[in-house]
Amino acid sequence: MSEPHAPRRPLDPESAPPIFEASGLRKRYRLGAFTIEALRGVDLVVTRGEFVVVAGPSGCGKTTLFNLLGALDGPDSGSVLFEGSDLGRQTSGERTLFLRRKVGFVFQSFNLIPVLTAYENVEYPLRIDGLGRAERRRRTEEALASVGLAGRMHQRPDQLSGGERQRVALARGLVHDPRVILADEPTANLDSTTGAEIVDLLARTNTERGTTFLIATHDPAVIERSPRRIRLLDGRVIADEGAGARRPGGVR
Amino acid sequence: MKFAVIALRNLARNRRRTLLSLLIVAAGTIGTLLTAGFIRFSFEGLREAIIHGGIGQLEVVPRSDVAGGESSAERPGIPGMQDWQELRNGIEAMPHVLAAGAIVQFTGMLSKGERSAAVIAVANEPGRERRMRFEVKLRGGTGLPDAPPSDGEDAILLGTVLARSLGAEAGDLLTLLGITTDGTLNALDLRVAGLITTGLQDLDSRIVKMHLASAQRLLGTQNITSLVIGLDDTARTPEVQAELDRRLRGREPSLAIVDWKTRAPFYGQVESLYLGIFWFLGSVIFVLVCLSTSNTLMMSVMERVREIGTLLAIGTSRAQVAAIILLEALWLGLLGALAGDLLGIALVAAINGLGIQMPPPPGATGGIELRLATAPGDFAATVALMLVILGIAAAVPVGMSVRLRIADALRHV
Amino acid sequence: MFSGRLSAAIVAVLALMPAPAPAAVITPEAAADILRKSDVASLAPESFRARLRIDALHQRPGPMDIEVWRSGDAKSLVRFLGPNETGKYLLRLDDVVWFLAPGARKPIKMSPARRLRGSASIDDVLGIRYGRDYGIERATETEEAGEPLVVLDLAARSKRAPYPKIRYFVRRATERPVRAEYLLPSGKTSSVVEFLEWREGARPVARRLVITDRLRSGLRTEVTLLEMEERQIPDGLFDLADPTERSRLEERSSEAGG
Ligand SMILES: Nc1ncnc2c1ncn2[C@@H]1O[C@H](COP(=O)(O)OP(=O)(O)O)[C@@H](O)[C@H]1O
Ligand SMILES: [Mg+2]
Repeated sequence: MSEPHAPRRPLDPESAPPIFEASGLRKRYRLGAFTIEALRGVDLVVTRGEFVVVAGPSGCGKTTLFNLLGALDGPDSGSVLFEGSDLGRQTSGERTLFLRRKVGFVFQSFNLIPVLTAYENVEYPLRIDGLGRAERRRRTEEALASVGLAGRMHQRPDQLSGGERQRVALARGLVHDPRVILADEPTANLDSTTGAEIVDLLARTNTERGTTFLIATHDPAVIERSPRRIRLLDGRVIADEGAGARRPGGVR
Repeated sequence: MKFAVIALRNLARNRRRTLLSLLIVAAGTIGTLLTAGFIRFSFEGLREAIIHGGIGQLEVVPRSDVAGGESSAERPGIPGMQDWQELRNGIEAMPHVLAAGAIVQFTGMLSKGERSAAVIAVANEPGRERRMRFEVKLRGGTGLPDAPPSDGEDAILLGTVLARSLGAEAGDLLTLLGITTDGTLNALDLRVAGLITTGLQDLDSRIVKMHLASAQRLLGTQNITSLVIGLDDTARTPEVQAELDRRLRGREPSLAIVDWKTRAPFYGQVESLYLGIFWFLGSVIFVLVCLSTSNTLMMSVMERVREIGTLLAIGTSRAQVAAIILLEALWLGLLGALAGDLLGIALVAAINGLGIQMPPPPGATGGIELRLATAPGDFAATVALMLVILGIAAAVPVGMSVRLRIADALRHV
Repeated sequence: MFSGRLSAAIVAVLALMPAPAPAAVITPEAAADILRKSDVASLAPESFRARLRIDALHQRPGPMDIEVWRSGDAKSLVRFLGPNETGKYLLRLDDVVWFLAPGARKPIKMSPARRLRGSASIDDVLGIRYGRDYGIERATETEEAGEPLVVLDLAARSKRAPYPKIRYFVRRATERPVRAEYLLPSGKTSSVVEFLEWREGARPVARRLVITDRLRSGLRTEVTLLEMEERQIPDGLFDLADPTERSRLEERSSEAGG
């Protein structure tokens, strides 16, 4: 199948391949007699290794967009290609494997499993993927170390601070080494200092591991640090700034 | 599996609710355990009362006398079993056989002066009956002596109701009129040794018992109606019956081996009545436990919608989510049933220790002491039952968690 | 309308039909005479000893022999002759029947309706007194196998009568009974006695009769007179309390046998 649409922006000199190619994404919600047009035709290309912020006020459709990119939901029309393959054509088994291996999620309210310790939360994606015990241990400890939580890994989420929890969530998102992390308002529940630390962590991970990051936010402190800022309003992309810049490190 | 641990930890989240569920499951377990114990007690009690009341576990009768396999009390006639001594010796040499007692049953007219009554007479060998652990429930006087009575010394036991209607008591001399095997009348004087009860009012108004020798004297025959076989363990009945069947095959005239259950159709009726009650109570317990635990499982799923959405979003398959919920239910079933079984053991011991008196069952003449006959298998069975109930109770919550849409679940607050 | 015409027609047809011929009516005096002359029990000798065989045909056990001693209307004694029956008697004094057995010290009162073998009751063997216990309700004439029979409908007039109603068939020519049908209060026939052979003589005695039980699927029992001797009978034989005379009887028969 040929590419359904051409990328809008010139590619990076290193010509990394696109990881997401979204085109014509529409999504409506029906609330009784009302219909809310959450996305009204969104086109988007994200290349591998990019660090992208999707910015816009609350209710503009960020979460809806991320759900479509992360295959947690399907669009009413339009399509999302992930590394060239159409997410809409996945079987439910393929979708489970996609979620398990290809993406990592970071949520605004952390969404840790409360009955599991920090270690177990991070280990969980490896466990459901059937990895061996030694491998699990190595990767879990590594992921926890990379978010700076090596010392507190046997605490339950309710014994951790917000920042620590979001670090655990990030470690869980990273532990299986996904291609992309979709972080939906990762700093909204944190104070600004902690939020800044988390953004630092995301940026560093992007630099060090080359993981693609898409971050939904309306926090100016986060927006200004991103090399590429896609502005969303009322379900439409109204601006795509700094396209082409790939590393957040370059901004600093 | 890790999911079992997750499920268990999930149960620990809302301890109060989990404790309530466990109590319900435990109560259901205790209920089932006690009902089963009571019903088994009733069955075993009735069974042993029937067997040791005089019919034994097995009976060998001429096949021509067996019509539809009913109790020999229903077919009094001419004793038709000849040359039974050798057969008896053979049977008594078999394993598990305590003894084989000769029985003559006939009908007659018993009179005391002007009063007379039609009776069912059962003549037996008291010594052998004792070896077969048969019980004679004496209600006055003495039992029959083991030794065959000499001429003119014949003794008789009367059913209590019969004795009352004849106005007879121990020591009285009565005359029994019967029909000999030649088809003519004969009469015999018998002294009342004692009064007995069979436990059944109806039979107590018709039954008399005497020594085999007395009946043979009256009826002028050495034949018997049947051989009643007592075993050391009722559970051995089928195996001894099969062995006897093999030994008696081809014998002429043909003999039938009838087991106690066939001879006491009453038992079957009681059994099905009690089983009906058991199934009814069981269903009530089933439904109550199922509905209430299903409800609490549902509540815990509803509270965790976002968490389940998260599990799905990070790659947990729907089958794995279902497994977590199902395992929570099964944990409840297992732990509740184990707790119930432990409490049940204590309760059964306590009830059995108290010696509670029960009113007599319909048609019976005496009350019985309540004991619960709980079998080791009951504990495993209640655990299995509760696992099944909880499995069913989990159906709706599992179905619901499996149908969650991830995006909606994640938005759920 | 139509039905009215139809019923009129039926009435007309009935009116035209010949009335059934009335049964020949017998005068009460003639009927009483026939009953007196044919009353089996009364016909028998006043005092006799007889041997009878009772056989429930095609049934087990086989035939049973008894000895009947009779003295007048009031006393009769049945002695059982079977090999194991030594010392057993039925004693009828007036209408009370007693059973005497060596195993029982006291006599046992029995119902005269008690069966001895097959359908033969004590009454059947010792005789029912038609003339004494029954009154004639109706006497008619009928014909069977070309022979005229008198049919006497008898009704019990004494408490001693074993059946409430009897239909008694007597051959007109010989004035001998042919059969008696015993009826229950409901009118249903309970049993039928057929008098098949006679011992002729000054006092004719039925030599063979067959009792058919209509209530027990037609079970037939045959009673045969084996021998009969008219003779005086010592009164001691009928003594309820004292068995001496009867035991003498046993001794004599065992001497005869041995
Ligand atoms: N499940 C839903 N049902 C109805 N309306 C929804 C649903 N999800 C989102 N919306 C609406 O869609 C619009 C976009 O929402 P969302 O994507 O959550 O925006 P954002 O994440 O930028 O705040 C909002 O008006 C929101 O109320
Ligand atoms: Mg949002």
